[in-house]
Amino acid sequence: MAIHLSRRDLLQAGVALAATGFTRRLSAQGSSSPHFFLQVVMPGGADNLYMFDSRPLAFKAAGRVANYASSDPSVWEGTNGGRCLASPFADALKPYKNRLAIVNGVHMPPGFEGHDQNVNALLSANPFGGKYFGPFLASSGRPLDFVSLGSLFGANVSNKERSLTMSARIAPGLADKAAQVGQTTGESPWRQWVSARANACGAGDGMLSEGCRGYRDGLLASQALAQKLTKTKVEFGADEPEIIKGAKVAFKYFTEGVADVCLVVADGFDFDTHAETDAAKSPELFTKLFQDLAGLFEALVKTPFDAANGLSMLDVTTVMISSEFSRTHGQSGKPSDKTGTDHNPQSNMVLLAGKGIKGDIVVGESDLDALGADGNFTNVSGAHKSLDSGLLKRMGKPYNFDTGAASSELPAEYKLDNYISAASVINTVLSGFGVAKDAWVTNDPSRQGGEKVPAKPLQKILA
Amino acid sequence: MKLKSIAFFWVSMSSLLVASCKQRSDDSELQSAGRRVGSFKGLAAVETTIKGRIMLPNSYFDLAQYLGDSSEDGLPSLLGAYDGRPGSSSLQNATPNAVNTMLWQIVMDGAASAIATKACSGGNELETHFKQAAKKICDWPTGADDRAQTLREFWLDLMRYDAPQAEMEAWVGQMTASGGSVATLQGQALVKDLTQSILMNPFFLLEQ
Repeated sequence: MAIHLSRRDLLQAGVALAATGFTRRLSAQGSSSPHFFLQVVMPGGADNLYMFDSRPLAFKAAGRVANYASSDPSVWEGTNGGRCLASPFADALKPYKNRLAIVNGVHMPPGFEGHDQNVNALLSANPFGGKYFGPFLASSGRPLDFVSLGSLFGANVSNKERSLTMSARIAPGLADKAAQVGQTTGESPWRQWVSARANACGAGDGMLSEGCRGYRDGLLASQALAQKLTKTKVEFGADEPEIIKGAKVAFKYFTEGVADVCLVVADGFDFDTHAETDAAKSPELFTKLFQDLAGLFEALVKTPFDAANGLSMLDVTTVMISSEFSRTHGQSGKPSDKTGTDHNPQSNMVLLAGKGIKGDIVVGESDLDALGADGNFTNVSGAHKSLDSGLLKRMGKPYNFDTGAASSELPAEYKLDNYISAASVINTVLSGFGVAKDAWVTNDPSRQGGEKVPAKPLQKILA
Repeated sequence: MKLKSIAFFWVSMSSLLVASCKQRSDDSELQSAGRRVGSFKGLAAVETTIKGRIMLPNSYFDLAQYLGDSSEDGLPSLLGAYDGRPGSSSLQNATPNAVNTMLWQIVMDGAASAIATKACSGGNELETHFKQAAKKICDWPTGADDRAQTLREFWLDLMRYDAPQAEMEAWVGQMTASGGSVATLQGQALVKDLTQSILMNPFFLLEQ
């Protein structure tokens, strides 16, 4: 087939790409220094009890926390003095401790317990959906704002015009097809005609015109994209985990300039353990998850980005790993050794690592971490009881954004601004990429009128 | 006088088009089907359209073959496909961008080539009226037919009324202009180019 581009076409394509309308990274921030973003989402609500916010088995014996692990968690302490209880499964990440920042006690928007709402909050800080923060991290000039390797079905993302949602397994086929485009040359009269018609159709202000403009820009940019995609052929090993497949594709897309932002969906895990039989399988589930995550970090460390300068992919990539929420300590009225678990958006966990992130850090804590002599939880705030009277949900403790430490205060009333929130985490990443504050997100995205104050970022974990 | 009429016609059609875009922007029927004005119709819908317009019933016609991948979550999913979630009607990857546009070019290149081969070899899978129009074009420059009229018939068989009449007239004018496809190509190559210029037209590929 034939795709021929004139110099004028290429100039128009450059203008089209430059005019995508996002408040992107400040050019002064990193000059031309490469900086990519890899977000791994574990959909379904992964229980951080089996990750970095665990509880002693004594809590199970007291009938307070369902915990199907057979051994106690261990203390994981950061160089900042922050600490958490890491489940035995998390030991697989110990070799990468010096690169990891663990953020516990992250509040998702209060009052929203659904998967879709919390996936939306994870991507945009808004439970109803909105602009995904990923495209704001992309430098201008990339053919795509982001690539989602795997599908977050419920996500309501409004700024995905220049994005791609695909299974990682089809990346090799896409590279082959791109090569087919790249190898053929010559005139194609139809193409000039179609470009002109797409341009004419795009002159209006309706949705069809908007689509025509996207189509025109796509026609103009497709040849350059094909040349980049041709170089993105990857090979997958037999039974390679989805996370690793996604990472391999992401590395290629980063390196070849297809996109700066990739979102990898950790498919293949049944984290939504409402049923007791599913919850009981948590040890196998999280053993596998941490094997995969260790494989991810191994790939990040061992894959060179710039071998001459000793830079690995982890050196040029900010990595963020999380689920949309965590899970409850059990289900009301059921014994802690025979129960499933439900959704808990009050205390999520986020792992951050890589470029711009201080390693060996632990920030944030959750409550329901101490039992009194009577076997009941102690030090429970009025704010917690107002949201969870049954005390089935660990809740993030108030956080002092100035000192970077969790607070021991027990506030009577709930105010999201006093806690680490999904918006705080997003703004931390945006800040780390040097994105201007006008793109930062707020804890109250639905508020009408008045000044919208961005949520405070976690400055203490930024390098 | 004639020029004035043509100009008036173009302005009228343009106005209608813009008005149409505005009216369609809240098309609840499309939205409830998970589709959006200005997005690609998706591979399955386009394949059905082409088959219904120019192929005889029960003829084999598979657009995914040109991608070398017919799996539901494979390359065809990048051209606009439902997300596969039970009860969901969300069409993914349908907003035009560089990737799906690149893949549409590959698909339509293969489809146009196959259609041109069938048309110029008298293939009996094609619908009769389209086959006759295409055959005339295959035989150019021989034949005494009215070329502009033959091109209109060819366009209408493929495009039907998805595009305004002005779009068709502009196409006929472009193709028959000095240096246009009709002057520079012949036979199968010409039919392929004409076919591709229609199949890749935004009015054919995009939801309205």
